[in-house]
Amino acid sequence: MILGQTTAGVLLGLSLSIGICGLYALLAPPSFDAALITGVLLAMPLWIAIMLLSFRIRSGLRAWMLLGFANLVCYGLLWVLRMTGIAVLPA
Amino acid sequence: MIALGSRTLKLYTLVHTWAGLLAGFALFIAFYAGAITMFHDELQQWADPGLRHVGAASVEQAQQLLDDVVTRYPASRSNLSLMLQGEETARAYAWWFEQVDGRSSFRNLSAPGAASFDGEHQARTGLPDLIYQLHYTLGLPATFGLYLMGFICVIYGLALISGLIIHLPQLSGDLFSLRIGKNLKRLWQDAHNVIGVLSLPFHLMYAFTGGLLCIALLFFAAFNFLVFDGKGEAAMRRVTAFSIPREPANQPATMLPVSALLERANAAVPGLRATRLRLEHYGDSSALAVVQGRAPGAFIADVMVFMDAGSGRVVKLRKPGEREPYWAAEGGLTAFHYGQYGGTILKFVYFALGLAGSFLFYSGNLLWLESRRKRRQLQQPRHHRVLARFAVGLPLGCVLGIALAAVVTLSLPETVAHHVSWEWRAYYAGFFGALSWALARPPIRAAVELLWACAIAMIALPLIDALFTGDHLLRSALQRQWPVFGTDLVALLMGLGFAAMARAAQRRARAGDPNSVWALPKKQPVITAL
Repeated sequence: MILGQTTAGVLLGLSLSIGICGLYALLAPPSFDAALITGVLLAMPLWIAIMLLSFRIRSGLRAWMLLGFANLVCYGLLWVLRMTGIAVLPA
Repeated sequence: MIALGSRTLKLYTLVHTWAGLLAGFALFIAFYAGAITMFHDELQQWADPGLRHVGAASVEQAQQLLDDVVTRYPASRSNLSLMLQGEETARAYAWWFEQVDGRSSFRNLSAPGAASFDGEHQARTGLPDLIYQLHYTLGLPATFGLYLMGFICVIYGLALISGLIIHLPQLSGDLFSLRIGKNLKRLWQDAHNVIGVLSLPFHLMYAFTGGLLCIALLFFAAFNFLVFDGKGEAAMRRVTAFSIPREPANQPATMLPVSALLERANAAVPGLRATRLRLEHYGDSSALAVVQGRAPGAFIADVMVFMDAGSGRVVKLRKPGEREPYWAAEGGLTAFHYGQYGGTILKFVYFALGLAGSFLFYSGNLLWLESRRKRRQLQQPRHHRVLARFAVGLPLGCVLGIALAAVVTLSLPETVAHHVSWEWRAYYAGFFGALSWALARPPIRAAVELLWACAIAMIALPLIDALFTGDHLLRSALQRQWPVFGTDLVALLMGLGFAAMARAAQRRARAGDPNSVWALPKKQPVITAL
């Protein structure tokens, strides 16, 4: 059964896809508005892609660890960018 | 040719099957009701006979309606919409929201029609809106249904891509063959595959646009929470704002007439076909007028012209090539999802693909049952028997429910209050009635009986139209009432289609393999060759 891979893909995949698109929204030039909209548009297909890939991971535990790690990296990066002021949320 | 390992093939077949089973029922309703919704505006004329003989559109009538509304309902002045008579709107009407007992209440007022105007003409029927709402809520409470459908679209996307992965190695020869012959299961499988492959771009578009149209708001909220630390609300509100924020100045001012506002809009966007006039703070010096419509010759044709309602000065313009990112995206999603980038032919293409899509989901469940049938025993697993009942009862319940709602639309006397509620009751009666029937009867019998019920209900529609309005097919054709003629004709043809399916199901019941969920319960076991 691929229950572990499924739950990892659904939950951690969602947060990962939003995290990646969030990085794009904050860093991509030139317009924040355009980048935000692009990010929201891409989040859903990216989530689906991550879920489909997660099914191929050999075990549920591995899936959670892999995706968990990816999430940590992604949100860690976001946090650093916010703290250092490189990525600023416009008003 | 890509060679897929057998493990990968099994894996994605499992994903495709589960995603299909989970989302298939919801998607049947979405596709069936959605297909009909392509003709939402035309259906309005069928559903409200009073709209069948409306005179030509006139600006004077729109002005009169506007004056009427703002005089009799001053609360409407803060934000009201005037739907202008045209392709989408058979007769002009105004709508707004009023605070009644702390709740927001939808109000509308219609322009005088050919029939007598009693001064309080409310929307007579909601049939097209009922079907539209079914499409994106499945008949569940509105917001919950909407969000659910968004997630269904995500599962749908999973089903589509996994289906594509499974079939990629065979993308030649076999895939497009339709093996007509004695092997019914292979025929259904081939039909399911061919329709699936041919309509793949259509389905991918729908999974994407449908998903976003439903749950973009949730994604924005998730972005706010995860990426912007909860501080993104102001920015997001700005990015998605429709109008220009304006406070009422509490200074009365004269407003330009409707004709002048439309003229100014046309000057800003030549060839504009105005569909809607929105007014904010009407009568105040800060009043804003927004003319919405379609620009000629553009793929995404939405136009919004924002003007000072007193002076006519254009303060903001959204038109092809000049839109904020959010409105460009919204325009694109809507244009593709609602098939707005083409004419009537495109509507028919979407309609056909929509019906074919609902066939895909109907057949998908039946195929799953067939492929897992225990061929050597009479008794089929319990969960198969339950699935068979839902696979028949739910889709046919939706078809029957819509047909019954349409019956009620034309046959209920005008004097009955809350017409719309009776239409919804008819839908739920048909839907739950059919589902209960399928749960109570042997599945194949239920299938035959429900298919006949759907056939009769659909064929009845043109007859009821002729009976209650006098507009039979010949008359509506001679009078060039194409929306009415088309609805009656399509209902008739669909009814005949369901009758054909009923007869095919009858044959299956009589002559089909007894080792199946579709077999009639027999008193003695039958031994069949392997």
